[in-house]
Amino acid sequence: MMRRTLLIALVLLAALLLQTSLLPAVAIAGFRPDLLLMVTAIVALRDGALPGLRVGAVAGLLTDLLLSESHLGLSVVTHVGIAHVLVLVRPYLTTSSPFLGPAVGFTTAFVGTLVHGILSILLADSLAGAATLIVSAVALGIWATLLWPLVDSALGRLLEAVPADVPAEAG
Amino acid sequence: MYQRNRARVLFIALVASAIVLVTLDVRDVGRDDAEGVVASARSLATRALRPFQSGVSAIVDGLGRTVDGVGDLRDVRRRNAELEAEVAELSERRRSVADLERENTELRSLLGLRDRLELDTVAARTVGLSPSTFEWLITIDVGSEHGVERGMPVIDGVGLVGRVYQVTPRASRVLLLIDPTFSVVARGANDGVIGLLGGRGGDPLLFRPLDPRGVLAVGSELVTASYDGGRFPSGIPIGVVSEIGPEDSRLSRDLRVRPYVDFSRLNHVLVVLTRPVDPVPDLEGTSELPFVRPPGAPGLFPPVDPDEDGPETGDGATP
Repeated sequence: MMRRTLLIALVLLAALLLQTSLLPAVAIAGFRPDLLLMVTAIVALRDGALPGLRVGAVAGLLTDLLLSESHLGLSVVTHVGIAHVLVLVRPYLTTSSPFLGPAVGFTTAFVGTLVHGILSILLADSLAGAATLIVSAVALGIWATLLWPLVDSALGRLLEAVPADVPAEAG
Repeated sequence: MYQRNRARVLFIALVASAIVLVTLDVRDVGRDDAEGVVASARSLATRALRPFQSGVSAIVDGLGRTVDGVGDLRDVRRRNAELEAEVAELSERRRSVADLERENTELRSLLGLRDRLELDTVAARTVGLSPSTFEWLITIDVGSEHGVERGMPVIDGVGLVGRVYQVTPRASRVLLLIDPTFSVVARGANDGVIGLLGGRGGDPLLFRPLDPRGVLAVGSELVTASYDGGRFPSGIPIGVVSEIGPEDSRLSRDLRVRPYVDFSRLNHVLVVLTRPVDPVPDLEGTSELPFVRPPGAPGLFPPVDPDEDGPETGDGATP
């Protein structure tokens, strides 16, 4: 369990560093992928509710502290909410289509960005309009679609290399 | 079920915690206090992460420079290709100028030879070489529409090239001097030794004097003689004697002649628009011609009888 926790921590740190160092260099039109949200979604889908919620909480907190100028806690709500919803729908994602992962990635990033933006607007934390918000959500969704196979494959191998002590619950 | 309940509790707890955090943050913003709890937490997190960020940034910068280097390499290669193309173009232009200069020199020599020999000519350009290994022919871009006729001599700036072998309205084929079937009456430019010159399929040519006693020295120049029915104007340079062969059974010598013309570089030629003299009737056909006694010493020829026809034999001459 400890190794697993350490692994998840290292994964989050790596994602955070990549998010702050590498991805700004590859941003397209100012939009860059949200790796922490992708890690949250992948852990939630692979390991279940508790790990997903924990990772979502930490990833959201890191995002709020280091990556976002919005109110502290908004990203926590977003990440935790995404993890919870994914755990709920996970039993229904039974197809083996290769497009399932990218589709989940797009939906996750799109919904996550949209929810975070709406909460920011509601708290008067962002002056972005609806159009900007939708464009941002679509752009991050596309990024997630493109990167999902790579991130999912890499993270899946790491998680398989260090199996959890407690079997993943069905949600 | 237990796990599911734990997950629900955890979810609610996390959301509630997040709402608390948001509330604290909103309060901090309202206080205009840069040292609030949330601001302090952000500052602490940033300081904690900075060393890792610096390390990763160094790696990313290195990668970026490498990628830029690769991009620059592509740019350098593209630039290199452009410069190579430019150099090739300039070289091509230089070659073109050299080709024009060579062509100019060639045409000047053509004009010089034509003016020197006072020949009526038509200029032509070589447009083809014979595909056959056994025929030495070229094709030129003038034909009967330009006044070219079969048998006309063809020259270039330095001498005799050959003769027109086949004529079409706009093109002609020229049998080169070096073709084994080519022959022309030639003479020594200095001593006038007449002989028959023919090709041998390459250098040198073969010259056989008509008079076995006629001797030409090595280096003697040969020119065309107009003995061939006037088909070849007299004085067109052919070449120089390069070697004198051994005496044969007829006590004559074959001479090797090195032609002036470089047959591998025929670009511009002149077709000499000369026509042979009208054919002279054979001696057998002269029996019907009246004999006219030339004026002169009456003792040498008999007096002319106006009623007498036929050739004068001289047997009935009156002293």
